[in-house]
Amino acid sequence: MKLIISSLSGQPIYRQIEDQIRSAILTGDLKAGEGLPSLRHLSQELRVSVLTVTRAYTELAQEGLVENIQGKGTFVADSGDKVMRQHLENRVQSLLGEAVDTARRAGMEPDRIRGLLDGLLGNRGSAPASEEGKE
Amino acid sequence: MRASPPMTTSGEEVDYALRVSDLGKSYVKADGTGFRLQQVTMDLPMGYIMGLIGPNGAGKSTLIRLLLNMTRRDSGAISILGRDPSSQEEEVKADLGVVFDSIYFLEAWKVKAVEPVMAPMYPSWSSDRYQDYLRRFGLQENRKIGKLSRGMQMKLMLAVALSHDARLLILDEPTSGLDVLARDELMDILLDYIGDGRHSVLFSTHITADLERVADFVTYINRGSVFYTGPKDELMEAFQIVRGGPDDLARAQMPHLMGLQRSATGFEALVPTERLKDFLASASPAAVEPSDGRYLVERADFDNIIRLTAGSPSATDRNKEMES
Amino acid sequence: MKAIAKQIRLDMQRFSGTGRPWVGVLIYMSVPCIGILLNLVMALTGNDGEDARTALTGAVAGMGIGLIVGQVFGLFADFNNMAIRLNGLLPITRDHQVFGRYAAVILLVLVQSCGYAVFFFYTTDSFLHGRDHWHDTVLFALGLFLLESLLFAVATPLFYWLEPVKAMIVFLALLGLVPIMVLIGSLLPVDWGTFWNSIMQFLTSDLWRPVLLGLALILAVEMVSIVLSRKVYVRKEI
Repeated sequence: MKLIISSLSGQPIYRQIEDQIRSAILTGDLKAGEGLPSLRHLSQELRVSVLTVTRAYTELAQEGLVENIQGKGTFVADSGDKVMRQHLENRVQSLLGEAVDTARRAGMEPDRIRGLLDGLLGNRGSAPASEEGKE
Repeated sequence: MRASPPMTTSGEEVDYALRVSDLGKSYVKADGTGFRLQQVTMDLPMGYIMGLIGPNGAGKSTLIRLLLNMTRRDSGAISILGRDPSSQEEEVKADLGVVFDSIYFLEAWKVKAVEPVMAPMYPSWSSDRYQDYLRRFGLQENRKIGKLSRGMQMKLMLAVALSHDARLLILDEPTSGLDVLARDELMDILLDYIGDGRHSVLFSTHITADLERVADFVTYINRGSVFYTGPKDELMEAFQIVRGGPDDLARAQMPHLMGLQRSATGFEALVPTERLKDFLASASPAAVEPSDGRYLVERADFDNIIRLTAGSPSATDRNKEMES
Repeated sequence: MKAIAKQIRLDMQRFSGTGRPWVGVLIYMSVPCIGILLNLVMALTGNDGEDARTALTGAVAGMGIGLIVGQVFGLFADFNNMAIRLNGLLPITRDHQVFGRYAAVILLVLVQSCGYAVFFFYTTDSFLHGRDHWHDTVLFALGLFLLESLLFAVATPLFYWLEPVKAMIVFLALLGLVPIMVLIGSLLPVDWGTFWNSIMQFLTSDLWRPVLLGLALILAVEMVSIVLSRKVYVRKEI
């Protein structure tokens, strides 16, 4: 698993770890049932504190992306399908949001944006992204 | 300010490497001048690293000397690995590894004189491990201790501290005098050391960059009292630093900040994260967004926090002032 | 007990300055050994007069006393600001440090006294002319032991109390009191000649009385000294 930590970015380190593991799970780099490195091992590898890694794992576990099995370690959750889909949709939404913001700044009309999107989707109609709130 | 102990899986009993409660020591003279350490309370669970930060003269070294029973406390309680260092000094110290900011061996000794002196002191001394560390640190047995550089002297003390399986390492300013490589190496060693969850580290430093990565907990001592003790990540999120022009700070904003530094070109204010909204709202005219162009808002790092709070009374005093 | 043994060992190591305790003992034994060697050389070369022997004895004894005083004060050098912190982190309580220190010093003085006894026995004529040589040897060793023990009983609490340099100054000042007291004594209307004669009488009468009295005296002095040292050291900021 690849993890790159920046100490200069304003983002807290636990958030960086959390984000990168989450995206590794979402992109399928980490498969369901696969074990994450142990807390203390990862802490040594990344040269960050144990509690920082603990916090990243805890938050991922709360999201349901990983499971902590007492005495065995942390594993990518199996029940993932639903949670996973949710996450993917959230991700799409945030990416689209970013695209729309950029388009607005560029002064593009809504219709023009829709046109671009349709173009990207090909001529196939597709289900609209769900209207879930942000994470 | 005080944060809860770390998250542990529920029901598990937390084992503490170090517990300090209401510790006090006064050096105040009859004329009222002098220094006082008061009501110091902190906990370090087994298996973690705690950093001790604060400006020079804040009381870090006094605290460490109290832990080691090198000076007697006036009040409060200390428990190191479950034992009181003043009544069970020998048992406690057999389990402690200590590194001071300067060498504690006689400078006339050669490096090779250290092991015969220290090995009999500790039942669990491992000569193999000690020799390993000497090699790893490049310490030559025939060098005189007084002739070693500051960094090498620190490594010598560290080699001793690591060679008797001490459950708690207490390091007083270990990184002063070390270059970046050596500091990195030290951080690796410390993380490796606590890797099995059975060892803990308390180290004081004024080089906060070391700590921002590896420390699990932080205790910030300011003017003799604890300003914060708890998980490091919480302290790193607790404050925002707001920068603005010289005229952008309104009176109404003052109660919302913890520290302030003004210059001809602007101001820097330390604002508790949960009060950032109030701080911005009470500007005149009110700022809705942090990034409306008037203010620059960033997460405050330890240096910022220390710099902007060091001059001020401790947080609790400050809160009282604000309430009254 | 174990902790006291650790302290004794540590002091022996500090004393020798190398981390090896037997080097310290060797230093102590060296002076009388050299004395015996010189004596042997003198005997072989036929230069064996009583005057030469007396001079040699005096020189060797003086050297030895100088050596032990210097070395043991070196022991107290660890009370300077830098090195004292070692005492703060070792697993030895302060009480045990004090007990160990006294034991170590007494041990060293004892070793030295014994070394000198051997030297005295083999190289000198009896200074108490005509008496049993064994008797004189024991008195000589005892005298040395008493004198040095007394010096350290005075010095040790001072070094626990003050910085090394200040302690040294106070100690020397106390030594300076001795000639003053002699001066005052000489002004008193006492017949010192008779007094010293009676002391010599007492010393030469039999062996066990001066030995027991001397040991009892030194025991009492050491006790007072230990109590003082403990009191001072327990409060000390390391």
